[in-house]
Amino acid sequence: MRRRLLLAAPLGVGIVGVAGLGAMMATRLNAPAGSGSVASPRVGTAAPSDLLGRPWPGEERRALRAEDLARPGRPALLWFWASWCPACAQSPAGLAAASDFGCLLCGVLWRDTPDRGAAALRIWGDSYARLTHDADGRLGDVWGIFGVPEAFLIGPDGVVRRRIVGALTPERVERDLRPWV
Amino acid sequence: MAAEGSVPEVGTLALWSALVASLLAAWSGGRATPRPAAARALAGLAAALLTGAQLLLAWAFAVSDMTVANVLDNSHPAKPLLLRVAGSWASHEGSLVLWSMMTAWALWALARHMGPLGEAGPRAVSALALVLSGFLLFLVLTSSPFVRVPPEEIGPGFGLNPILQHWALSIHPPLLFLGYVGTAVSFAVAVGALWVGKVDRAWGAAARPWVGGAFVALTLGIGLGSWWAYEELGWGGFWFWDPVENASLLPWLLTGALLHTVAAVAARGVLRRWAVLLAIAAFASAIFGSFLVRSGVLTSVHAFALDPARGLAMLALAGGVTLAGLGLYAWRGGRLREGAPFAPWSRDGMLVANNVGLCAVAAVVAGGTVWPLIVEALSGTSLHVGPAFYVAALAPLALGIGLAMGPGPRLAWRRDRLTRTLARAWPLAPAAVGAAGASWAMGGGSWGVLGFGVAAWVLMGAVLDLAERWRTGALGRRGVGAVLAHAGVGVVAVAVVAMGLSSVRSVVLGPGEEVVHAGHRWIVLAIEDRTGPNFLERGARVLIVPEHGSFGREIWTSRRVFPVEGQVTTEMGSWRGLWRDLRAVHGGEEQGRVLLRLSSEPLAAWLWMGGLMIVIGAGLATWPKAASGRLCGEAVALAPGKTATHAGHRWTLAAGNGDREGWGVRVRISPAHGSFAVEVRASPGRAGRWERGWRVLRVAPLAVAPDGRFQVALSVGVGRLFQAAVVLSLTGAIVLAWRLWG
Amino acid sequence: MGLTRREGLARAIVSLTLLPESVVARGEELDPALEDRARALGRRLRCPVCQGEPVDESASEFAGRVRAEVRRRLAEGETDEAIVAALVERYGPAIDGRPPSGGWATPLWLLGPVAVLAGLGLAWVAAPRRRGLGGRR
Repeated sequence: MRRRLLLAAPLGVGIVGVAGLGAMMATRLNAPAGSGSVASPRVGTAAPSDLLGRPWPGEERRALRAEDLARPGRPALLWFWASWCPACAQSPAGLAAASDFGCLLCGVLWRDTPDRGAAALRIWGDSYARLTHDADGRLGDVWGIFGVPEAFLIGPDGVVRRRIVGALTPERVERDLRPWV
Repeated sequence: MAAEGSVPEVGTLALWSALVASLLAAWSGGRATPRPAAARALAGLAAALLTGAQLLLAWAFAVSDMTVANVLDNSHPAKPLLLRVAGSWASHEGSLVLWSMMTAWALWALARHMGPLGEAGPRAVSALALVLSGFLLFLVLTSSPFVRVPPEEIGPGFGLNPILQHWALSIHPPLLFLGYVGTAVSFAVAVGALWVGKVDRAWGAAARPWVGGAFVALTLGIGLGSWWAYEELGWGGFWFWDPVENASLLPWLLTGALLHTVAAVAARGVLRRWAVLLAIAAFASAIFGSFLVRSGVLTSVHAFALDPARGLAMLALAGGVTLAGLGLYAWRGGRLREGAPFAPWSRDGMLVANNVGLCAVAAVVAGGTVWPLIVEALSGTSLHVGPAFYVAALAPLALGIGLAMGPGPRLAWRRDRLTRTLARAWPLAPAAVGAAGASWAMGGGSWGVLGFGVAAWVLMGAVLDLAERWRTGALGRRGVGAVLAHAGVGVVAVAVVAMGLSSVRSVVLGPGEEVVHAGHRWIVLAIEDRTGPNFLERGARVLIVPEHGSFGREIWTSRRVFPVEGQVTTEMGSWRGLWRDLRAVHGGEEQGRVLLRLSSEPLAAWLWMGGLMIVIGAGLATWPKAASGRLCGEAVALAPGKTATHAGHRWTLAAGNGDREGWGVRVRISPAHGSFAVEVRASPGRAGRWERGWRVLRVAPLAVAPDGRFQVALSVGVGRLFQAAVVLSLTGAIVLAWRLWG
Repeated sequence: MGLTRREGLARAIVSLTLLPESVVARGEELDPALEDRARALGRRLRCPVCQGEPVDESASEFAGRVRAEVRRRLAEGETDEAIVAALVERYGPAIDGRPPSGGWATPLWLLGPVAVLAGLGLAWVAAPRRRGLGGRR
């Protein structure tokens, strides 16, 4: 009897392990796939909206407002960028794609000056619905960014859904952002 | 050519055909009366088909055929050719093709060499063929790399990260896959033995080369990955306890334990159930590890992304194979005869302790990787398990294993006496205390002192092992290999502890300015712009000169911008030496002065040298012995007193003992033109050897003829001296290459 | 041929000065006690974007910002734990190099000893019956 138990024990442990892993996988079945998401304490919480940066001179019309980050029925993409950032130069097509499928595109110019930002936008293209300026990086600190470029997808309910680090290409938008909207 | 060509379709056909072939091979080996020849042929067919598929995929990458989805997602025409081809196995789908191809080749090799396994041979082939079929089924159903891209989506490729464009990273996955395939073979060999209900010494000897090969491949793969990280990432780290790294460490730990266990089965017929269970566990850890990496359950820099449905399919495959193995053990394990009992203080006992220790390390590594996922699923808390945890939790276990490695290899089988061990192994303690004391005197912290002490203990254990083997004349290839591998572990331990004592300093220097750090003067010669094939860089030329010396080395460190990929990378400059690596990493510029992170990594080279020692040692210890007399030499039948002439020597049968129980011969060998003679003893399984200069003269007894004559095989081969000379010159060549390149 | 606009931008980026806080590795000098605490925290905190390198040693721009932040908070009189907690709240638990403790982490710490004891126990129980070698049964 003891012998039988010892022989069957590994099988028992194996079944438990496989079942556990299977259960874990099954709970994620409904979540869409995709890579490139970075763990962040902001994901899954309400988007912080007390700090909003400063409007660009001459672009007060497109200043970032608190309700932009929690607009019912409309997702928002908070995009941290800078003119000196090479990967940001790779992203205009992706940003346009995100804007196309309904995201409110909010650009945060991080640790840079609006002059250089405007020059960069002339080269790269401007599809932003909102523009704000974070000169000293405090807004970036609130969101806990490591650097630029980074993007936060905020759902229509105002909850941060995903954080993307690195250049935003159209195929990345398709794979890593759309399913979460 | 690409759009009209049917290369991807041919590839898909090849995959399906290979699946059919492997299923048929499984059936040939698994039926009531196995058909080994058919299994061999079908295995060869599957291997050929999968090689064709792999070549087709590589071709698609080489010509940048963007109609193939896999090429579109993972390649770019601007990448160098070799790296494009390497991209054919970089993706999930491509890597599965590579894995399947290697498994098919292993299947064919196993089918060709299944003789030593006896009855279990065809069953093992069948088991491996079933595993291959499972992988192929998963491949063709969910992850085919030959899927075409709809015409509207064809475009330029999405390339790879320039950071990942390094030759070491190109061969690191194939080496690891080779190791995983090795665990699959070990699994199949164990399952085959379970199937026929016999795990004995012959099985152990037959399984040992396969397990050894798996261990060598895994060590090389992990070592190469570590080395790349150390060279590329610049801050001296070489292991980060990343989930994907842990997933490759688990099979290595379990295969290491399996290696020792199989050797014990081969030598003494003990630890049979350990061997079978470890073989199943090692393979399970390899496939579950890969499943975790690819399932999207883990976030890591390495992780591929898959949809959860595919992840579940992989879980089904991995779980199915593992549970089948464990189920077979539950059903047939009772048939295995137990080995002889042994006392705790014995070599058998030490091996059990070694196994328990390695399995505990594997459990902690697996736990640390998986527990955060479980916690998050259960409670939503985000738990971070980082290097600090692993080092703290594994240090005591590593200490225990290290302590066992000192006296362990020399303990007697079945039962040894503590007093006898103390008498023989007394140098261990002074060595450890001496090393610990020396490092304490040089200002090491408590962990460093302890680490150096244990490393010295392990090294001294290897020295003692070597000494005793020499003394008793049991210094064969296997013994040398084992000693070398254990010494390699000690060397790695020393290096790991030493590198924890690296010294780092950040300075801002302008051209012409210098600073003193780590016993050297670091002088910035100039700050320059340079251009590369696909990048622009700006960096500093730094001259490093020893404080009390005059011959230094100039290094270059820079920031690189890749305009096409939009990436900025940092290239470090390093001066590699035997005793330390000196490095400078560019950290940006301010007003014409450059920020440099200077560091000195003590004994970094020893880490890689120790790894090589482990690889070479394990290879030496497990390479299959040529079956007595079959491969070379001349078989003759001699009566006592009769002489044969072979290879310029006279071989005279001095005496023979023909008892059924344990027969043997004594043969006198003398050179044709000489007057002296040497007498060797030989018994079945133990050839008599005479090391003569560069050569070795061997006598292998084959059989006792009914008329009283003894059949022996006489042969002349390459002697130990020659082998040692080859090894030494190879080592010298490696060291020379290192000095020239570093 | 002359530089394309892209290459020109690339050159500009490469030769661009980094922001002062990240270039100057140490920031303002604090008094010795605070400096020691800053160094200790720098060794404890790990840079999540540079493979877990200690923040004190990393040349990356992010590490420079974290070092500056730590010093700023130390100068304002915050405790070590409060500083680490604030950084964890901002960047996630990976930045704290200390191993997890308490609560959910306890089973993990117990795993090692339990595995060893269980393994040795199983080996003892399942070992071949000893006869005359001093074992039980």
